[in-house]
Amino acid sequence: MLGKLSLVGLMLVIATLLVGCIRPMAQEQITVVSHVSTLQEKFREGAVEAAPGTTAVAATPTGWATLKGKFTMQGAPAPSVLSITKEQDVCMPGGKPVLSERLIVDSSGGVKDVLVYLSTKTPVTPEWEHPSYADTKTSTVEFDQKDCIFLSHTFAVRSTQTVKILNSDPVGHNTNIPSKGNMAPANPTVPSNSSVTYEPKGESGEPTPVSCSIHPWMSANMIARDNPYFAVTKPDGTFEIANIPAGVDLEFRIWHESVGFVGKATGIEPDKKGKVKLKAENDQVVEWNVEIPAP
Amino acid sequence: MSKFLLRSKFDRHILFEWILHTTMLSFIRHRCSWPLGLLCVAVLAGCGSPEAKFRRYETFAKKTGGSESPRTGLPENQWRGIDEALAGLFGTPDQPIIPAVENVSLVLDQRKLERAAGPVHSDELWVGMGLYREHCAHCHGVTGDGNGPTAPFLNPYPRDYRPGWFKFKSTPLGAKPTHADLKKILIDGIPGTAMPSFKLLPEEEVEALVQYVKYLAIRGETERRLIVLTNEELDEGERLVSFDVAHKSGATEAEKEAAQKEADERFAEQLEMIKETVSGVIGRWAEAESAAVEIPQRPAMTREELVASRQRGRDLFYGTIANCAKCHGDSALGDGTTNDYDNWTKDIIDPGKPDTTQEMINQYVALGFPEPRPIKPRNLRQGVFRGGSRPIDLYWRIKNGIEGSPMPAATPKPEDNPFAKGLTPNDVWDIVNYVYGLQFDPLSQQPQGFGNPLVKTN
Repeated sequence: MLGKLSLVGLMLVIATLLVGCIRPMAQEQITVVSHVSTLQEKFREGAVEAAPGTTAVAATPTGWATLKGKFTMQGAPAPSVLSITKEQDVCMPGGKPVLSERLIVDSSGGVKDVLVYLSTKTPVTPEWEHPSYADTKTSTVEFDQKDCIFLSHTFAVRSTQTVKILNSDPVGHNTNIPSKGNMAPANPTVPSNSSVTYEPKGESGEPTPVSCSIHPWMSANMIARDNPYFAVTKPDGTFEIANIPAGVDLEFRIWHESVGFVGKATGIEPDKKGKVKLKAENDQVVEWNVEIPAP
Repeated sequence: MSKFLLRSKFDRHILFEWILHTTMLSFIRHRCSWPLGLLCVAVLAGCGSPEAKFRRYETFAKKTGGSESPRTGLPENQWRGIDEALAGLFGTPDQPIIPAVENVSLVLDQRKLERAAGPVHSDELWVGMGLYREHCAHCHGVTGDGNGPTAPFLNPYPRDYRPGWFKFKSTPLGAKPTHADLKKILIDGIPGTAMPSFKLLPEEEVEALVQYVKYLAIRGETERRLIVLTNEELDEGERLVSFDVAHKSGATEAEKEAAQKEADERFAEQLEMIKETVSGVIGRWAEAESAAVEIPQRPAMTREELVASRQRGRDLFYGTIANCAKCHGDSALGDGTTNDYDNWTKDIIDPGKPDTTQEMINQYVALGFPEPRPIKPRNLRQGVFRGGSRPIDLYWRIKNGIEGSPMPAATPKPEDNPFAKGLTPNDVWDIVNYVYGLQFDPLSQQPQGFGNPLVKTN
């Protein structure tokens, strides 16, 4: 009797142990043996030569055009109030509540901080880059913070530019830029009323979230691009990218912090990943009036 | 349920072995009934030991794919393209291979890798094999995803190698660690965490394990890049590598030949793209070997000089240039900022953002993401420094910051501008002296020189 009981007990313990320890895990790889051996053989052969004639030479731009427009949103939720847990004398001037900048919509419905950028991989040649962008190629741009707020909430630079990270506060900050794509990560301390420099060195396909570890409520988004064709909408929701290559197939991507890549919109037809195809005529002014559904 | 059972074969395998050993031992010790013992053996032995496999990086794919993507981030068809590309480049946990790209020999060594890979066994000369699964996999997982069977019980969680970020290294933020950096972690362990020291292993075994960690990190980072590539560059449902040639029904020989040629060309392009991706990752590891940040000589000090240095360090600690106290706390107890998360968490989802809901976190937890925990600044009063307690280790942490954590890098004082704010090498040494001595200072007193082993007695 006792033996039977202990047997049942043991089984129960084993069953509980097994069930108790099982937790969700990612799926294991599934491969076809012949496919893998083909690949291994090919990779072992050394450099794989692409067959001649397959590298499609992209058409060259025939001229330049302008892309401009406005992003709007109806029924946007009210911005949440951030909890300022430190150094309130500096970070909460006048004791006023500080609002999240995640989604700011003005009275006309214009959405601030929508990022529009050319996602087509373009050759780095003069035919693809209008002379008006020559000055900004290696210039220095400023990324400031004041009252414990990043003054540019969504910030786009060229990967060849230098970012001067300023601190206009009497308290110290640090600017934590995690790596994304080929964009270099950085996390410098920025002494009070001082500045440091940051070089992105490479581009990323989507913005990286910038934060300050000392003041965790501070947040911004930064993207670095190899080409100069990008814009961030102003407080009224408007943007303009001048001198985009005309006469060629281009693809722009649209991103906003509150919705991620803008996959749904009226006025343009983005795909699920926020990509919009565009082929502009010479000197054409392409105008986008886009409404994004509220998140 | 049955799906979960199937999906965690590896966990089961380890558990079975453990149960087998303990029950057998107890039967022998307590002379319990043999039929019962035999029954248990039959039940357990019947389950066998399935082949270990790498797991997909579903959390990252889900994050990259956004809310519109399938539950696991990518459609099954596209996942298989990534699986096959990775298996073609890196082999399997039992048979690892090294991708044949430039500079790979500077980073990986096939023979050492083979000692660390595979199931735990010994060869005909009694040389121990399968070292990774013997010493590491129960915490870090077969895939190196930091998600082995013991992972949920540990705090901090075991490192997920796949993003290729390592905290304790001599190289600056953004650079890979050197071989020597990783080796130091294996030999010394990480005090204050579950990571033990492997000092007792023979040198060549440690070498093999370092190689294998690099292999898993390179494989993981390649997987991340291939996922991004699949998401960004490919059409919907298109595979990273495709083996099938689409023939129209009733196609002529010429048409078939043309279709074959087109497929071959596409295949060659796909291979080239994958190869470029993996060489990009390996190139960064090769660069790191010469990227260690040099440390200027630590000034030799008398007791009085050390007391003065610690006083300067203390001023910097609380000042607005170094900003240490903001996170490490006014008493250096690590209680200044306690609601931030590390990059391994924020890379997938940031629970600190006001709009992150538990539901959003749960969809990643269902893919094996560890329950997020805030990262704590180090309590500097305990004298437990994870990256090592040598003055040079503290210098590197302060100078370079700590990759993947909120710990920022010190801003150097520009040599050409005496009015600009920043820290000179000696300022950093002052902070090192102050921080190192904190473990000997009573909380209620000003820093003292007494009892501090760093004081030179002359």
